[in-house]
Amino acid sequence: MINLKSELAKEFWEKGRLDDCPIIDFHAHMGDNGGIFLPKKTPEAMISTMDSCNTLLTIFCSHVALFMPSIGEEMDIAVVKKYPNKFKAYHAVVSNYANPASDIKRMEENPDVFVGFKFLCDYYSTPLSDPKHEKYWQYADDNRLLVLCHTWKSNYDGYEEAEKILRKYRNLIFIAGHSFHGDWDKAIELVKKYPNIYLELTAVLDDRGPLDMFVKEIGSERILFGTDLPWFSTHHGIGAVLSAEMTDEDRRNIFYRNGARLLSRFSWFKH
Amino acid sequence: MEFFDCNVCYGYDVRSKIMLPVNTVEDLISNMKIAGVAKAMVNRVELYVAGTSVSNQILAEDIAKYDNLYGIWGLLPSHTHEIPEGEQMLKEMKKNRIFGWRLIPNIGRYLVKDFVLKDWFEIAIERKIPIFINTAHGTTLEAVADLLKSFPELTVILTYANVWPSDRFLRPFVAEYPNVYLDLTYCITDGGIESFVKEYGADRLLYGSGFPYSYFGANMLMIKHADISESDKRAIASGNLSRIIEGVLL
Repeated sequence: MINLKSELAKEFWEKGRLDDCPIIDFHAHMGDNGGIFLPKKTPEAMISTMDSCNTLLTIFCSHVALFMPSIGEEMDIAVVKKYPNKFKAYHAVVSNYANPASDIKRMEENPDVFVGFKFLCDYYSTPLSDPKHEKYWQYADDNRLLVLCHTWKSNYDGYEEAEKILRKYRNLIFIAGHSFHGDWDKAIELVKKYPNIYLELTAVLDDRGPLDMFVKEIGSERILFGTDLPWFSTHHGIGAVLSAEMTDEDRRNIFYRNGARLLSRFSWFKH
Repeated sequence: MEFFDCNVCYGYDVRSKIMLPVNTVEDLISNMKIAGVAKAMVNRVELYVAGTSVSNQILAEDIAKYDNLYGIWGLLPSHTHEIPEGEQMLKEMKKNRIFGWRLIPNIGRYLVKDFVLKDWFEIAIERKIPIFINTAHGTTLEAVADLLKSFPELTVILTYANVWPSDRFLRPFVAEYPNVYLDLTYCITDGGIESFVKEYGADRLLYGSGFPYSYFGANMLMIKHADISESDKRAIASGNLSRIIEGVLL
């Protein structure tokens, strides 16, 4: 039952998925990862999870794209082309092998595949504002793209680095993956200050409190659902949102409405 | 489906590490009702920051009013004689509905070694008392491995405090030692329950939430809609922990 105070929770509890409350997952990966065993890492296995939760669309950047830049992007493109109604991709920005000319050309050749870029600066020990990233930021800003950034309490992708980007680029959508994990107050501060930043919930939902605080302080319209699939169970994430202190309307915003509003900028998004 | 949570605490955390505090046992019961959690194994938060004896004592007083709460007492080496020992300990446990012991070596400042805790582990095996180990409280997986090598029959309820998918660390413990159970608090990998159950069955997994640091409901929904049989879900949700508790000889 999860939460006696929520009708939505009661419905999810019984059915596991709701036709009138689909999910959009803004933070996913795919495939092998050296450090961990992932039972459901293939696109087909991920689709089975998506179907069980009524996840309408998952936007991912595969582990291979992030860690083997020579081959990863082509694999991601193939997956999206095979399952265009289930997946879209973020193009990886692999800081230490950045090649903006080639990467942007690939983006332009595949407008129905990519929604924007994925930055993973902590892993590459390179700040978000590093000059080697500039052409990516500019291209994303010029084209109003979505940019998912791993954000943490960090010198590479913490709030100070994010603010350098947000001050300069006002047209792109900055999706703060993990919501500056551990720096919750700063996450709220940036949302209040800049209209083009959204907080994403992967790895936030295993802590009780941050999401409750976000909704209380900034409302629910700038929060996006994400799971790190195939890492974390989508039902776990849904259960956490259903447990946190907010209204069912807030929950519907987080699960679907906010994401649909952002994706409406793409001609392929018809839902 | 009944849920029996193996990992719950409440109380005053002076370190302010709980964003939404649950200070009293009444608050805890109220939260359990809202979430639909029927029963829980509990200890006071103060066990992690204050004295073991006083935390154990207050816990006993708190749960006396609630028959759906089962206590876990913090364990210390018997060499300093700070908590009841031997038969007296068992008598106190029976009187106060205490069904497990928790290792807290980082706060209690002791080593998890045979020569330090041997007397407790021998009683635990004889009386089938589960030992609750959370790696966040200072017992490493290496220490757990050494402990189980010396006491392979020990009933251990293991909380590995890391949400990264950890089957490569955890499955060997289950494969090697028949009385090791995994608390699902941090085991939230997509498809993780299904994959584990296929390999080892459902009898070695326990519903745990980590409340109030985590929500009750997240893992409840994950278990409720796992792609396994209804009987396996019931075992994980409450059956396995109930069996362990019913087996304790006090």
